[in-house]
Amino acid sequence: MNIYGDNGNIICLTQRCEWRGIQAKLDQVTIGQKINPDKHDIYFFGGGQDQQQIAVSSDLKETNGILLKKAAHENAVIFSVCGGYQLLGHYYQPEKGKALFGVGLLDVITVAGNKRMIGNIVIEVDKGILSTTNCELSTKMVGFENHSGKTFLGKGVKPLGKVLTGYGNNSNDKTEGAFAGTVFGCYLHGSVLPKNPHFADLLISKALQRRYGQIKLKTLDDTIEWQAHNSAIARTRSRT
Amino acid sequence: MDFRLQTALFVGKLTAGLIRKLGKSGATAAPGLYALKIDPNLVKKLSQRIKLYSIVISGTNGKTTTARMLASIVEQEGLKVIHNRAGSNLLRGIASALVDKAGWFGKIEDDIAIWETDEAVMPIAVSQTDPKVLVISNLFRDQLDRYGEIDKLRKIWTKTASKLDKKKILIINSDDPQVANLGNKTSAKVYYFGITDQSTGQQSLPPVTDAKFCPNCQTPLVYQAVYVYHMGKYQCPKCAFKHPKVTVTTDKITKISPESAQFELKTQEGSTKIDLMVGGLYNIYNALAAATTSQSIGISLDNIKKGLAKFKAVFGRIEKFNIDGKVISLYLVKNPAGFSAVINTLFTEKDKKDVLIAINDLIADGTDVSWLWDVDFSIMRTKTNKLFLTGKRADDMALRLKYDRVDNFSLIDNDFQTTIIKGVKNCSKKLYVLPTYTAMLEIRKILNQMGHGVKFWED
Repeated sequence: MNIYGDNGNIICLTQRCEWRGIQAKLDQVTIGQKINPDKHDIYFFGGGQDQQQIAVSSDLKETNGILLKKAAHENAVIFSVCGGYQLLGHYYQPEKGKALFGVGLLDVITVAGNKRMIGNIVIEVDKGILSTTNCELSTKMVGFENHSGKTFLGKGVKPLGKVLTGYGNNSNDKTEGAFAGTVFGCYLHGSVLPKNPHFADLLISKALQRRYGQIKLKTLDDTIEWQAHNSAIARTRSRT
Repeated sequence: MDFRLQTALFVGKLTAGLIRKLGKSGATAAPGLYALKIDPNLVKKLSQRIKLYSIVISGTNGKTTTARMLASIVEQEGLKVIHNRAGSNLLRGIASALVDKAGWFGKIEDDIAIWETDEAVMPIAVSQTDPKVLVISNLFRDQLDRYGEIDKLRKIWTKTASKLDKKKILIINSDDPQVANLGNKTSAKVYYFGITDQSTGQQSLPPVTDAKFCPNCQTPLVYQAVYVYHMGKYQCPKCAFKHPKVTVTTDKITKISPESAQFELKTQEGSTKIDLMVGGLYNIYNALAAATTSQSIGISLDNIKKGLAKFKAVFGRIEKFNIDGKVISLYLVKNPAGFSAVINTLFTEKDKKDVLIAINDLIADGTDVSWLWDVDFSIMRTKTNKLFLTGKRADDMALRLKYDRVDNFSLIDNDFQTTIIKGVKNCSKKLYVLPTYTAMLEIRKILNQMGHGVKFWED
């Protein structure tokens, strides 16, 4: 699913690998195609519209859900945004009708809300997460959220961060996103990775770890990335 | 005389007079807003007084241009047209135009009303104006922060189409699968327009498309040709859904540049060569929509040709300014499909261009800049000379371009004035300015001051 300007995440991951001389190969998995858990080191799971979300959910109910779980257990990185995040949880309960099946890789559930949570969002990222990557320049992440589903976290996950500005998972508990092991989910669009290069690099190094062990990534010139990061944070303060 | 309507009309007219006297704006929304507060059925009542009938035009991209092309053709036929002002496409915009054109006692002298309406407002505009013809050009992702999802629009459009009776006419784009499918849901007489010149098509869909799934069974569609974004010749590999047969088309596009286009128009009444003073494949779609609508109401091919030839670009949509011997052209960009279309039009030519991109994120622009990542800018890599970035989200634009390895920035500055002045000064002969909506308003103001009001085209 890729309805929402999240294509930037894919561009970001492949470019940042390429700039370091790491060859990255991209495959697109659509409904009906089988996931190959041995082949891929990093998965991106974006958001879709209602109808597509239903179709993807029933696809995951078949073998693809099992295969994705296998990949995660073998330490492949799975990064999801919005609709993808919801389907990595246990279920999504719409306003009417049956709950949508989720893979259960993240210990979260999502229920439909009646208010759309829209706007710029800034979070303070979980300390444990960023310690492995370059976080001297910022411990925040910035993005744009647009969801009506409210996500609630269970004990098996930690929130990706604490909401400084915006709504986050459910607009009540000030948490945003969730992670467990190498599986990550959040509501940040923007696209999120280009504007948060520390987090993008964290995903890349975790993905490399699976095959090559601990690797220190070559530092890139991220002047423009941090400029966009900082000006996006400044934008959340002024709305004119 | 209807007392409520009469009061609403008076208040609307007085408001408009007052606003104009204060010199605040063109009074394109407020008079209608107040008049509608007094008589919510004002649009319905006044629409009945239009001499012939109304035409409603909607879709994500090109509705302003299509409406103006159509008006130009209809005027060529000798008919008097009433229309709403560019961008004033909510119900209050229609009400404002009606209040303005009606006499103090509600008499309307115009033959045909042409209303461009916002996608979400279209159903209510149709129920209020009861148009003889409804034109739907395309459905792209516009501003998700405002509408939620495309699915929702598609649902309300389907409902509107299904309510049209067989005396009504529905003009739809056959190349946009989601729009074409509306033709199966209505009793109205349907005219399809589309491009059939497969030599201009691309081989594959762009990486991100808004509507590549079959509207019936959600299977990914198979494309034989792609013209603009998800518009092209398609077929569902699983069910019976396929590209409908076109009523009006072009199978021969002879010339296409950023500034002009030439193509062979094919209709049931015969063929003719069309010359447009606007360029880009997307403007050929707009012209086809206008031509099809004209033909459905019985306008001759000759007047269609003449009307289209007279058409000039509208407000902010390819507008030109002449400053210090340099030509500054404005190309409004407001969503991924529109931005891609402009990029592909500008950079298919051989020469390198000086470009200024201005991105704002106010409500009228869409507060979420994610959409920039759905545009492929890589074609600019070898085709830009000087590159200036401005607007509240100039840094986001710089970042986006960097990841398509376009990074020869001459200047990145949030301030419009500074960037525009430098851009005009440092460009060679022409500067191509690509602003979002509110950035366009600011830049227009600055350019008008710089050029002392010397401009070629204006709305």
